[in-house]
Amino acid sequence: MQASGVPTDRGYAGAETYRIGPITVDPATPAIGAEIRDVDISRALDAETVVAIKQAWHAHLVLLFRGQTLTPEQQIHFSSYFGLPQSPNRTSYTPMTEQYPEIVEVMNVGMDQERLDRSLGSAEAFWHTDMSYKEIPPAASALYSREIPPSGGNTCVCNMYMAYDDLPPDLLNQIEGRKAVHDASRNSAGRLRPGFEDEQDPRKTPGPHHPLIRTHPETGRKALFLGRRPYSYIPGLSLEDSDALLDRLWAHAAQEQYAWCHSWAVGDLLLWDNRCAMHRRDPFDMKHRRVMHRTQIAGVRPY
Amino acid sequence: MTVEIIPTDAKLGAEIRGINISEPIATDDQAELRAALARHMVLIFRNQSVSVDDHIRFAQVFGDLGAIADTLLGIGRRPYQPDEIPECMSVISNIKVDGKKIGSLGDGECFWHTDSCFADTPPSASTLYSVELPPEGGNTAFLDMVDALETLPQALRARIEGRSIRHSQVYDSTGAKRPAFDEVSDITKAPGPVHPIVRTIPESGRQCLYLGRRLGAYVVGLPVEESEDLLDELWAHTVRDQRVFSHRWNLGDLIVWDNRFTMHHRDPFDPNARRRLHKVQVAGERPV
Repeated sequence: MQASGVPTDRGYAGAETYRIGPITVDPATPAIGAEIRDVDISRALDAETVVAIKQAWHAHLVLLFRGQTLTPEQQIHFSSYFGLPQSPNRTSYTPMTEQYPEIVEVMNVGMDQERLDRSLGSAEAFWHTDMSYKEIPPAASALYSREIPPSGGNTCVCNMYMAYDDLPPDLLNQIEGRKAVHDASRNSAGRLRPGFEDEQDPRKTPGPHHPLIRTHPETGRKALFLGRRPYSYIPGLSLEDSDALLDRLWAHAAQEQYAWCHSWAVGDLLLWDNRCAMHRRDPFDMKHRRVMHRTQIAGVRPY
Repeated sequence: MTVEIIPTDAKLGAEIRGINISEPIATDDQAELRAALARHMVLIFRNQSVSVDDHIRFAQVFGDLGAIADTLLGIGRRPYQPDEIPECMSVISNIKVDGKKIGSLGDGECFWHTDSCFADTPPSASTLYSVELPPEGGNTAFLDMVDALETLPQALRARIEGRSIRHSQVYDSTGAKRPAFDEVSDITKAPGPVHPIVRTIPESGRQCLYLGRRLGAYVVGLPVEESEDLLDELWAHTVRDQRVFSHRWNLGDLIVWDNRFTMHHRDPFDPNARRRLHKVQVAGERPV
């Protein structure tokens, strides 16, 4: 079942379309992302298909399935091939999340002002890893588009194995064995979560300390693990040194050659690996509806 | 490296020395333990003194916290669960306090099974810690399901190719009907998920026989009689001493097992003796 053109000596994929078993893999960029064709993910999948999808996933980190028609149950079913679908802690429920607690609604409609204020809104959501403010962040997320605006709202992803492999030696030296704190008090749009103080000193940021270099439990490869930039801090350093080091790391990680941007169509499902990829969202016009359903899959404590 | 791995004489199982579960486990040791579990399927840690919090933290060496059987079944918290036990932990015990049970599964035999096969996403591993033990009985045996598949006669293998089992949610591993479920007269209609009989672990490509448990199992698409005959043949082939490791518990033992590649079984014990074990499951994925 070994495909041609896939993992090179550095583990990166080529750009040619290829087959693994029953699926077709069309890489989006050499760095990250691939469209998977010839599979209907609303159905129960056999082992050969799941093995092929996982092989492609580990090579490309982010997979795109186009033109899918999924009920919430089917999205949860598909997600469960990658691990245990998780229900996030919630302070309130909608009819959807009451019935399907594993579904997170990422949307800008059907909410009162208070919920809207706490949501991701429509502004840019900067590079981040989902829920890295948890001690055990999810391994993966699957985002399915139900309604999208005519333009904007693209989701971009970037390859953190590559960012790690390319680290200048002095930068690598400075972060080996170091951890960073991942802010639990604000969401990826920078908004304060309920129950948290607006703490401005990054040295006092609440949240777990994760290693800056983590090992992917399934591929064994090392990746840079940054979480998100605002209010991040590297314990053991002065605030100035921590900020300077984080700024350098982020400038390095956010380079274009590691990234791919996906322009959504209705029925797209994007599956990304939080252990080795970050993502961000472009802004869009709030007067247009955008409704996405996200599932997240249980992971391990980063190591 | 502080970890010492001593394989048993059986096809599976290894005793681990040099690990104190009540303390945080070094990163390198964690990697070693995961590799040991992948290789030996059952790990035994002796003479441990493990608090509830220690146990939960240690289980996470092997993956994210899974849910207990009752949560996976959607029947919520049992009324007799002791208060100090958090939601991710189950108590397996025959002990009664003021006439009320504090745990599940009583004192009888637990038939061969894998944990929570009746769930969409059964746990990938289970961890069991002994808190109180009877003077004898209650041994736990483990069975190597990779070996069971590899030694399966070709003709039998051909009959299960592409086949799946529906895993009933109605009975627990002692064969008792769960109060939350009704008795089902037609086995083809029992509630529960459908999982392939030959299970493949996508990352490694390793395969095993995945039978779940005998009671309430049904091979989807076959007439009931044929399904029963096929399952009887599979079970007759599977349960053999040559692929079993049996563990006699000592107080302070903690056992971790791979819940995909193994089944396990508990001997009955004296109903007048007290036995209490704590269990935490590690999250798994939908079997393929």
